[in-house]
Amino acid sequence: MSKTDLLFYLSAFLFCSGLLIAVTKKNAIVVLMGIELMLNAANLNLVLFNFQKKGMDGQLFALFIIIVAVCEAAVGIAIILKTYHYYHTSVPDQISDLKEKN
Amino acid sequence: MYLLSLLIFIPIGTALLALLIPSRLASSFRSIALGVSIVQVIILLLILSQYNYEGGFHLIEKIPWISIDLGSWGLLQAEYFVALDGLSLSMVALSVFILLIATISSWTIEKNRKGYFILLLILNGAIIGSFCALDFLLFYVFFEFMLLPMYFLIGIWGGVKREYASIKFFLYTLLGSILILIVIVALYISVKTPESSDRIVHTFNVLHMQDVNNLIPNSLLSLDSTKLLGSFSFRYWAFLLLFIGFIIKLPAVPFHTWLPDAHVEAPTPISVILAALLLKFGAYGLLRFAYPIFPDAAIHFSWFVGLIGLISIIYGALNALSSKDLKRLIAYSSVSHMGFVLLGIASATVEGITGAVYQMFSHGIISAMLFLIAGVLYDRTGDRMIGNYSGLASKMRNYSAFVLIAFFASMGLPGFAGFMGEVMIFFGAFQSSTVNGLIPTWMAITATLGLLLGAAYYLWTIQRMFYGPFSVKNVTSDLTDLDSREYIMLLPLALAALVFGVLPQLLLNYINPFASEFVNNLFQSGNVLTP
Amino acid sequence: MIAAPEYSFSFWLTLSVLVIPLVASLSCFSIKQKIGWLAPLISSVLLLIASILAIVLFFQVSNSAEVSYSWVWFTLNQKEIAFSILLDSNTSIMILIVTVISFLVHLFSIGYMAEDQHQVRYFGMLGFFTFAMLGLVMSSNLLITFIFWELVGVSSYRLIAHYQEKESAIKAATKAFLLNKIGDLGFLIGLIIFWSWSGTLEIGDPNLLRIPAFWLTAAGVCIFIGVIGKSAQFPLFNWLPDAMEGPTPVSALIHAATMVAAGVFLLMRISNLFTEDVFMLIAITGSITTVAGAIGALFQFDIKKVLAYSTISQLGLMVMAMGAGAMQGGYFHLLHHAFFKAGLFLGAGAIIHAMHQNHQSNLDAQDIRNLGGLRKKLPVTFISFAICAAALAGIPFTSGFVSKELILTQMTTWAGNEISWRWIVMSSAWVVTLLTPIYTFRLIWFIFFSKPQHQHNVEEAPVIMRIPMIVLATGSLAILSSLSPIHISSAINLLQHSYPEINSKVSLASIVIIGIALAAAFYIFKNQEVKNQKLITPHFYLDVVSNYFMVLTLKLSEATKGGDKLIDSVIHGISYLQITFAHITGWADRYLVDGFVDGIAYSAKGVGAITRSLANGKIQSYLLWAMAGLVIFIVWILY
Repeated sequence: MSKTDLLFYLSAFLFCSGLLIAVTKKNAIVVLMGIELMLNAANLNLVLFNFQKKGMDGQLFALFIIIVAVCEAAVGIAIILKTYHYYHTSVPDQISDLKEKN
Repeated sequence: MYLLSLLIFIPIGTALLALLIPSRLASSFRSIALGVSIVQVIILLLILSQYNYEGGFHLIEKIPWISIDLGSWGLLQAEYFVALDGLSLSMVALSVFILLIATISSWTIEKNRKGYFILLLILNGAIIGSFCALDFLLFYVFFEFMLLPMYFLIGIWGGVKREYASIKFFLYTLLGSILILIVIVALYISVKTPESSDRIVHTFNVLHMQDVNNLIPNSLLSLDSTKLLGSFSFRYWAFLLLFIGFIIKLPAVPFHTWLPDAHVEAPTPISVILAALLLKFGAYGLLRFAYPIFPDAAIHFSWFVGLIGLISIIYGALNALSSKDLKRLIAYSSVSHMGFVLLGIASATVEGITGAVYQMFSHGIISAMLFLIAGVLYDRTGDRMIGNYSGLASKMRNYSAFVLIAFFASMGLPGFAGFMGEVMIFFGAFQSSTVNGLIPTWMAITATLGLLLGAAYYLWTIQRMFYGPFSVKNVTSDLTDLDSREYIMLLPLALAALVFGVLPQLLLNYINPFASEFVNNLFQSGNVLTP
Repeated sequence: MIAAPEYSFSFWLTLSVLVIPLVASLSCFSIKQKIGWLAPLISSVLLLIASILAIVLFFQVSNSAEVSYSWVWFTLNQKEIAFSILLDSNTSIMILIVTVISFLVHLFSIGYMAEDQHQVRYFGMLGFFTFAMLGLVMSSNLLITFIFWELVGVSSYRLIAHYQEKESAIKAATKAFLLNKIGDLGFLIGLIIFWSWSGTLEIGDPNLLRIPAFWLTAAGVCIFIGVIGKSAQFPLFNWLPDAMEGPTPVSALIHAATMVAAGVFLLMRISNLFTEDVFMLIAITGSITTVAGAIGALFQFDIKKVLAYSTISQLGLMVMAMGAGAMQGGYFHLLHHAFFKAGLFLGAGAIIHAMHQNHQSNLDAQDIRNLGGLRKKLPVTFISFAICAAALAGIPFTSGFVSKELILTQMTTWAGNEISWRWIVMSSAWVVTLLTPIYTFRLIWFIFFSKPQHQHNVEEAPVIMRIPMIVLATGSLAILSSLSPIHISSAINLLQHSYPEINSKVSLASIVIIGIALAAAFYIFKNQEVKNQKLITPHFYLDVVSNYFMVLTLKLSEATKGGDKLIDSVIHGISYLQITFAHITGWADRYLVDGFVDGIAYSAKGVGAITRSLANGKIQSYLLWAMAGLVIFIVWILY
């Protein structure tokens, strides 16, 4: 197993733990953090694939994603704040307006 | 003059108009019904004055009714065709008379008068219409039209078990109607009008059906049809279906069990109409349709027809003997008396046919009287059980006198109409073996036992109910003698029974030509048909 | 073709004799109950007029030849049935006797029924009976005869049941009517045979004889069955003793003098239609009946029943005589019998009336054991009763002797010299000649002579009841029929019969036999206590047979009731089957057809529910499913 392979495993681990956090955690901010984790796993993958291909486009993509992730985190936190303001909670389980009313 | 149409449609039209009158004015309905009946009597008198005693049909009214082009299937044609001959005239006269009496008898009906009298009027028109119709489809329409008012009249205004009785009545007669309908359809596709040359014009005209020349070659019921179903040709089957359809109405054993139940549960006027008029359709149908249209089959099955008649006579009388209910007894006596009619028809002799029509007429009068008598008692006590009465003659003198007259008239005492019919039937039935060899002499001789049994059950009833020390069980009210309304109903019937017993020529003037024509035609075409 | 009648004097006479009793009857029935006392008067007066007219008619007919009238009554199958009347001397004397006896009975009834509440009905029916009987006698068309024959039966029924609250009277009436009806059916079948083969029912029509021999015999036998019923012959005679439940004058008129004799009259009237075999049957039946009736009369205690059995016996004698060809004798005896038997019954009525007046109601006034010694208390009744009884017994100088002698003579000639079955028949006539005086003597003895059983204060009946008795007793004397007491040849020949030579040996023998019988009877009954006699009801097991038939009929009728139940149960079975089938199809409709459609809907709903449960509004689960979908997509793409 080479070093790159290990890093691939790390990326998969990061993605899985990020997904787990995003699915299971109750607080929307922690969910957001899980999503950030998944993005970073993707970034890591991009960089690693780029490293194997010997090019620059993967690095650039990762750079872009970091920027987008910042924006996304800013927008996400804003939404969470707004949601909190509206529902007085930041736990997604207690917000079920999308579900049809029985 | 359209006298016949007036006779038929005045009651039906009045019934439709009467629907507009609010049911608040309940008592006006019976006056309307009575008025219609009286008008009918006047029209009947006009008809009688125009009628001459010659044979054939009179007062013919014939208007095209339905005419549909069925393309390659030919032309469907049905007519409004009414006329009178000796048979239908005597039946129409009987109907008008009995319906008048029945209307008077309905005077005491309290429950929903509007509905009752409207149904009665419809029934009235349908009965007379069926007796006049000479188009099989028209007959069938009127015939079915009778069934429904009857069903409601029994089912709504009847006694305790009225639902059972009315449904039984309905199903039985509906079965009969269906059998008749099958034959109508079969006849329709087998008969053409004599005018139809290259193109076949189908018809329901009964007179065309009676003529062998109008049968379409190779059709279902044609003479040369070699198709067999079982061991009979289709013509024989058609006769049997018509026969069963009509003897359900007659009723003959073993299709009679609806009659006692219907009679026991029906209100008095309906019993009267049922016994006096509706039963006649059985015999009328045989005389008008089954026999003339299928003379070959009629001759072939006459032994069987006679046997059914004989069984009805004896079986009905025995059943009457064991009846504990007065109305049931009278109902079974009707079965027995209509058996005589069947025997007379089976003999296919002039005497037998004359006697059969005479017996139909006299039974109409006498059975009406019997049911009115049962009704008089039922009105007073609400109890029809023979065993619960004794010695009524000492309390209800005039009533008992009428009972005696009615019972003796019904058991065939000379001097009353019933005797004339029965004796002519005996003449015919006995003669048959030598004249045309249709039914054996032992049938006529055995049938006389019906008279003995008739005397037995009536005398026994008189003995139990009217003589002896007076006692009445479950009496709720005073046993009063007849009131004037009951006199008005009973007296004309008693007089009619007497007049037609003493002066039979009054009726025979009409029946004689019919009977001889009937027998002539039967054997003319019958001989052509039988190989 | 029937000729139009000629409206002569005798025509109007005949018509009025026939119609007046009917008018009497109708006027009685139309009288209101309140003035019911008028009924006896009206009908008696009308009957008196009818009797006078009948006498005139009788002389009219015996002076001129036969009179016949005919009206077409109705046509059937182009053949005419006529209401036709034939009056010859035989008929006109019968008319005379019917009207006169009916009038006398009316008269007697005024007294006898004075306290009855139903006089209107009683006299009305009596008048109606007279009308019917006259019609029966006059008619010469078998159908018309049959009609009146039945009407007579009905009036008999109604009059037997006159005491309609008495159970036994009603039962007797029903029994009488039904047994008569059996006979009537025979008559009817006879008529039918004649009509079918000859197409006519006129008695005088020669066509009647032109039918096959078998059917001629059959028709004769059938009509004779009618006679058996009406004239109380073996085996249908049991109704007559029971018929004594009716009022006594009715028994006198109907069940002794006229109606029961109608059968005998008919036999004479249509004797030309009978074949040898029928005559044989008639003779044998008559001989059985006459002996059985005489034996029956010997053992009765009820006056009226003794008389009833003696009527049976005498009717049997007449029928036998008719069968043996002794027409004149039989008919003569019929006429005489009408007088003396009516006289006897009226006498019995007078005795019963007298006993009832005595108000010993607990006593059966008809039982001869309760009577006795009435000779001095009721002298008029006694004398008239005795004369009539003498006529019954056939003692010389009475009418009974004359006719009985004639019968015996004719029968002896008929039997011939060689021994055959005819001798048995003939000997029964002699047996009856022996038995009749014995029971007659017994009756007279116990009523009028023996020791009085009760101390009665009985009084003679009123005049109005005595007159008829006296008239009838006078009529029973031989003087009216024959000037010579023992010799018929000097009879006043009103009937224009030709009589055979009287065999003086027969006359002598019959006188000797009667003498012996009287002596024996005197010897037997002289010292006998009535009370010690045993009551034997000689029903000859006929009641057992008729009861058996009745029970059989009732069983049969129960069976037919069962048959109806069976038919009904078949009908019910069919309708239950139908209903069951309807339920099955209904179930199938609901659960199979509907179930399929519902099933589709349910499955759609179920799928919807499952998919919908994914959209539970939780973002994280959406996320999860989206991820899962992605994984599935990737897996699908890669492999």
